[in-house]
Amino acid sequence: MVVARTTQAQMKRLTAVHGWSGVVLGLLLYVVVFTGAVAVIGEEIGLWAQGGRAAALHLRAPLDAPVRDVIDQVPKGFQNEIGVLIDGRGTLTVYTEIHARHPQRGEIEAFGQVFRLAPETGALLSRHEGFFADHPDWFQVNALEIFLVDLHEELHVPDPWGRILTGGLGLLAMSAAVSGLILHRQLIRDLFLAARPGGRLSAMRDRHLLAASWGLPFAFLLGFTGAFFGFGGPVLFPLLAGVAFGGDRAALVARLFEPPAAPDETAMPLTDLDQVIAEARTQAGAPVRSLIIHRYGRADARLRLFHAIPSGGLDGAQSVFDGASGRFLGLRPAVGQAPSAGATVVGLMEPLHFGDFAGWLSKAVWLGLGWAMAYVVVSGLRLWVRRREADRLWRRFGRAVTATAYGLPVAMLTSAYGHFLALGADADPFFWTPWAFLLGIPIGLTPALLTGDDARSVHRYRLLLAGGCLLAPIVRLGTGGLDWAAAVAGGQGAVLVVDTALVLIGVGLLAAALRRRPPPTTGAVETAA
Amino acid sequence: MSGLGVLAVAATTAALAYLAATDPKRRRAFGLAPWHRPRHATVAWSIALGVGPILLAAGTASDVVVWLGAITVIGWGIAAVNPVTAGRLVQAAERMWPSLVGRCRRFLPGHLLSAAVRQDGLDRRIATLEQRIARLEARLAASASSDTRPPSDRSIG
Repeated sequence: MVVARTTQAQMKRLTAVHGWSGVVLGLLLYVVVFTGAVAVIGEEIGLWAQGGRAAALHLRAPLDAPVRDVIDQVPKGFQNEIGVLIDGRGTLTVYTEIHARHPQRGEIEAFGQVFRLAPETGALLSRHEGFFADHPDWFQVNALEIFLVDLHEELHVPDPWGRILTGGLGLLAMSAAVSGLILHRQLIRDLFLAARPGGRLSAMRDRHLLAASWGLPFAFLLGFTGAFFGFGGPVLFPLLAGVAFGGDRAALVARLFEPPAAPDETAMPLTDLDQVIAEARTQAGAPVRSLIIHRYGRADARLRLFHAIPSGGLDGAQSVFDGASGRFLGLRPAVGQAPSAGATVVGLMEPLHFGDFAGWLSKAVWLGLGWAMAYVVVSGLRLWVRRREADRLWRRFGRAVTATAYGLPVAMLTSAYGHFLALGADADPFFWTPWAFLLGIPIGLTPALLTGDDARSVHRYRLLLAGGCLLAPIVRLGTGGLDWAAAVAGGQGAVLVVDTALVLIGVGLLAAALRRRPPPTTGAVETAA
Repeated sequence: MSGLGVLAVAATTAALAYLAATDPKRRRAFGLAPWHRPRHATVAWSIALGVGPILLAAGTASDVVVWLGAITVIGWGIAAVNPVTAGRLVQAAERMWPSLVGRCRRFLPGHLLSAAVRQDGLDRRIATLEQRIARLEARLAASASSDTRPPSDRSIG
C-alpha cells in the first residue's frame, strides 16, 4: 500500500516534470528540432539556392605547385597551420590560421589569410585577410545554408550562450524521452494503436503517444549527441583544458587532435602534396576532402588528410604523413593518438547526429526522424493546452504554439526569398538572408494574432505556407537561378529535387486547407481569447 | 545502402505491417472483430528485429544505422495509418492494379475493406456532430452577447 502510494506520487511528480519542462522550453526545443531536420538537407538546400556545384569536392592533382606558390607569399609567422580544401563551387581554397584576440569582441579567434584559386590553372581568384568569423563568405558559398544551420546550432544567440542553450535543449529532449518512457506504462501494447477518430482529447493523446513511442530511441540519441555538440565547445573543452592541462587550450588541442612530432626547426621543404594525396587515397580507401599542414617548411612538419566517408562506413578516416619525407604514418582516430573506446564514441557523434553518412538515403531517414520529433513536441504542447483550455492563459499559450509551429516554416521560407532577391539584386546575401528571416517572423505570427480560433488560424497558415512553397521555385528562377534544363544537363539533381519537393508540399498543404475548412461563423464577432 | 540492407528494411516493414493489422488493441479501438487466426506475434517480432543482428554480421555499419532509423519512421507511419485509411489505400491500389491486388487479396486481412466502409460512416457522423456543436456554441455566444435585458425580464422559450 505504501509502495503503491509512493509510486503514484512519483508518477504524478514525473508527469509534472515531463509536462512543465516541455511547456517552459518546448517552443525553443521545437525550433531547434525543426531547424535541425531542415539542416540535415542543408547541403542540398545550399546547392538548390546557389544553382548546383562542381562535380567533385575532393582534392585532386595537380595542386602542389599552386599551393606552394601561395604559401611562399605568406609571412613565416602564419605558416604553422595551413589548410587546403575544395569549397562547394569547386574552388581550391588555401588558408593560414593563427589565433588572435578580436579587437571588438575581445575573444581569441581564428585569424589569417584566405586564398581562392582556380583548381584547373591555379590562378589566384581572390585573397583576403582577417578574422574568419567575420567573413563566412570566404569559405562557404551559400548564405542560406549557413543561416539555417546556424539557426539550429545556436538559435542565433551570441556565442557561447547559443550553444549552451541548444545543448541544454538536447538534455531536455533526453529527459523528456526518459520520463515519457517511465510514464507510458503500456508502451509496447500501444505501439500500433492509431489515433482514434474525431477531435477528442483521447485522439490527441493517441497521436502524441504513438509518435513519441516510435521515436523514443532516436529522440534520446539525437538529444544526447546534440547536447554533446552544444556543450562541447563552450563547456566541456574549457573544463578539460582546466582539469588536465592547467588551462592551456593549445596543449589540449595538440594532445587530442595533432599528430605528435619531436620538435625540429631545421628548414626542410614540404613533400610533394600530389603524391601524398594519391597515397592517402590508397591507404584510406576514400578520396581526400581536405588537408592541414602543420609546421610548413620544417623537418618536423606533419600532414593531416581528412577523407570522405567510404561506402558503407559511418565516418571519414584521417591519415597522417611526415611532411618532410612524405612517409605514411598511419590512420588516426577522431581524438587522441591511438584508437580507443572514447575516440570511437566521439567519432560516432557526427554521423549519428547529422545522418549524412549514406548520402540521400540516410538524410531522408534522418529528415523523417527530425520531423517525427518535431511532431512529438508540438502534439505534446497541444495536448497540454487542450487539457487546460478552460483557462484563458493556457488558450493564449495554445495560440503561441500554433504561431511557432507554423510561423517558423514561414520565416524560414522568407529567408530563402530574401536570399534569392539579394542574389538577383547583386546585394550581399549573407546580410539580407537573416534580415529576411526577421521580416518573416511578424508574417509568421499574423494568422495566429488575427483570430483566437485555432482551426481558422491553422487554415490560414496552410494557405500561407502553400503559397510560399509554390512560389519559391518561381522566385528562384526569376532571380537568375539555374533552370531545370540546365540542372538536368549539369547533373544538378538537388535543384530539381528541392523544387519538386516544394511544389508537392505546397500542393499538399493547399489540398489540406481546402479539404478541412473551418466551419463558418454565424455572424458572431471573432474575439481573441 | 546495400541490397542486404534494403531486404532487411523490407522484411521488417512486412513484419510490422502484419503486427499492426493483427494487433488486438488496435482492432478493438476501431470496432473490428478480433483476429480470428493464430497471431504468430513472436515470429513476427523475431523477423522484425532479428534482421538487425544478421545485418550487423553480414552488412555494413551504415546499413545497420540506416535500418534502425528507417524502421522507426516506417513503423510510425504504419501504426499511424488507421484501419479505415489503410482499407481506402488498399481499395485505391485495387483500382490502379486490380490483378496484382487480386492475387495478394488472400494475404490481406479482410477487415481492411469492410472496416473502411463501416468506419467511414462513423467518421462522417462524428465530423457532422462536431460541426453542429461548433455552430450551436457560436449561436449561444452571439445570443448571450446580444441579450442585454435584466435576468428577471428574460422568459424561457
